[in-house]
Amino acid sequence: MTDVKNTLVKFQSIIALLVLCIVLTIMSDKFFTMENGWNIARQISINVCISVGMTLVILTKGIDLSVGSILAFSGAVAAGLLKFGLEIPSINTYIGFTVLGAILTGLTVGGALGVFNGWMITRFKVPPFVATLAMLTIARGATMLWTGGFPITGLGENFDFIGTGWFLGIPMPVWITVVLVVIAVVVTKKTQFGRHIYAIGGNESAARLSGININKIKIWVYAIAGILAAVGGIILTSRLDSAQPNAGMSYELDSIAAVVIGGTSLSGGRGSIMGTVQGALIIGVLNSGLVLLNVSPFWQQIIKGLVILVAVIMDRLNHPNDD
Amino acid sequence: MKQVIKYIVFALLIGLSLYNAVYFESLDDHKRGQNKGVFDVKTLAIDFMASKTETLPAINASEFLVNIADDITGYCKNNGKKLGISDNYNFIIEGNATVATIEDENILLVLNDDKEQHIRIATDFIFGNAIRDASAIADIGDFQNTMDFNSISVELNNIVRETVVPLLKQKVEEDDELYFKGAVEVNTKHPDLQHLKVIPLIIKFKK
Repeated sequence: MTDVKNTLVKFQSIIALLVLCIVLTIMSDKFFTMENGWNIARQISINVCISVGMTLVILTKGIDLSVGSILAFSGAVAAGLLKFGLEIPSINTYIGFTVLGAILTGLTVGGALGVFNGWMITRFKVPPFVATLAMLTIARGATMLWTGGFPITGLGENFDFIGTGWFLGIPMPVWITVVLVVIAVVVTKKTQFGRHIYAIGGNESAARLSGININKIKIWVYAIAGILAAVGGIILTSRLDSAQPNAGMSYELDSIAAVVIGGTSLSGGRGSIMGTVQGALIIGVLNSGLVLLNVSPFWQQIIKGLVILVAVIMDRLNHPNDD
Repeated sequence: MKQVIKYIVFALLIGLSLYNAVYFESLDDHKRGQNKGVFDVKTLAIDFMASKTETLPAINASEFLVNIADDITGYCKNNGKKLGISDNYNFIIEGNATVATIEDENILLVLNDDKEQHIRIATDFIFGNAIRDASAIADIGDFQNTMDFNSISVELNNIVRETVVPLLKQKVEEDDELYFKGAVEVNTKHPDLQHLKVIPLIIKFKK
């Protein structure tokens, strides 16, 4: 009996996803179609990118509320540099950016903001919630400053290919997401760095005493979260052919929801990347299904909130000894 | 030794990425090149209204109304012009018609065809991007931001509001016969074919 219960607990996200798919297939003839499948895959790809980083952060018992704003700022920086380049009048020089240059700079900006988060948390012991909340507003303000409050559009076909193109019959955002997920799974399961992340989340004091450089690992984790948010930002900007100043609003909440629904403990030390992917899929499928069923957007928010609540309650019931 | 090779490979990769990532040029040269492609929106709009509208390809209004009522999605996809992912398709149409009613905000026309189809000419609310998008006067990629691109519509609509519409309102009487050419916008998701409004570009009375 205990074995059956353990198996059910282990596969609860997949079971929930399957039940959801079956119910939606019965209720809407448009749900179980190839077109809708690709739509869901493309829509969740950005959330998966962010959520992979968020999983690492939450595994260390942290939280990152700034991913939505970092996404917007990184996307805007990449779009701005690609479109306008950099003008340095004092030396009469113009620096133009290729698509590769714009993307690399966007990722660097995301990583740098992540490092800043990590530095605040480790150096000044600012609680992750507060440090990343501050970054949320800083990065959003920086996005507004950089864009002047207006969208940056017309980024060219090569850049747009990242978000709208297809390769071997699969959308590019899905390829990017799959590659990132595979790397993240390998890093968390097969590397020392991954084991250190779990160790810090499980018991930080024990991890410190066993010689793990906690601060270094945490800064790396927040940097990775920033870089992955930037990846999401570049995909979104490319998909819309436009960097919107208000892009990524409340994406951090969708991301935390995916992580929690996927079974990662907010107390740290327990969870997995694949669980988060399943969580993002559940949210994506739920979003798509509710739209296809013509459910009012107000009800959609209530339903999503209830799903998150149920996921957390089930997690608490299954792991009553967590902090 | 291994460490040294690792650093060399890393430095080479960074160097290669940077080489392909950025390019440098003189700021003066760059600005000269940029100015070649910059539009003076006002001049563009005035020039368009003064010399391009006569030769602008247009769809016969009667055929347009028949075809769009028959298969709105297919017709819009094949013949309309739209921007980005919008569901709004834009067309330049022309035709000969008789003035049926002069309304507060429009002039209701009956097309001079065997079907006697109706269409309205807008005379009050001259807004939107129908002229800009239907005429393909400019490419969004040539503009630094959407505000500049939208300003084309503002200029075009202003010219229509200040020159075409006052002349039309001043002359028009019921039962007048006229030739019109203008831009019309159709939304495929929420079509309202009974109330299509043409933003007038050319009106010629047949008196």
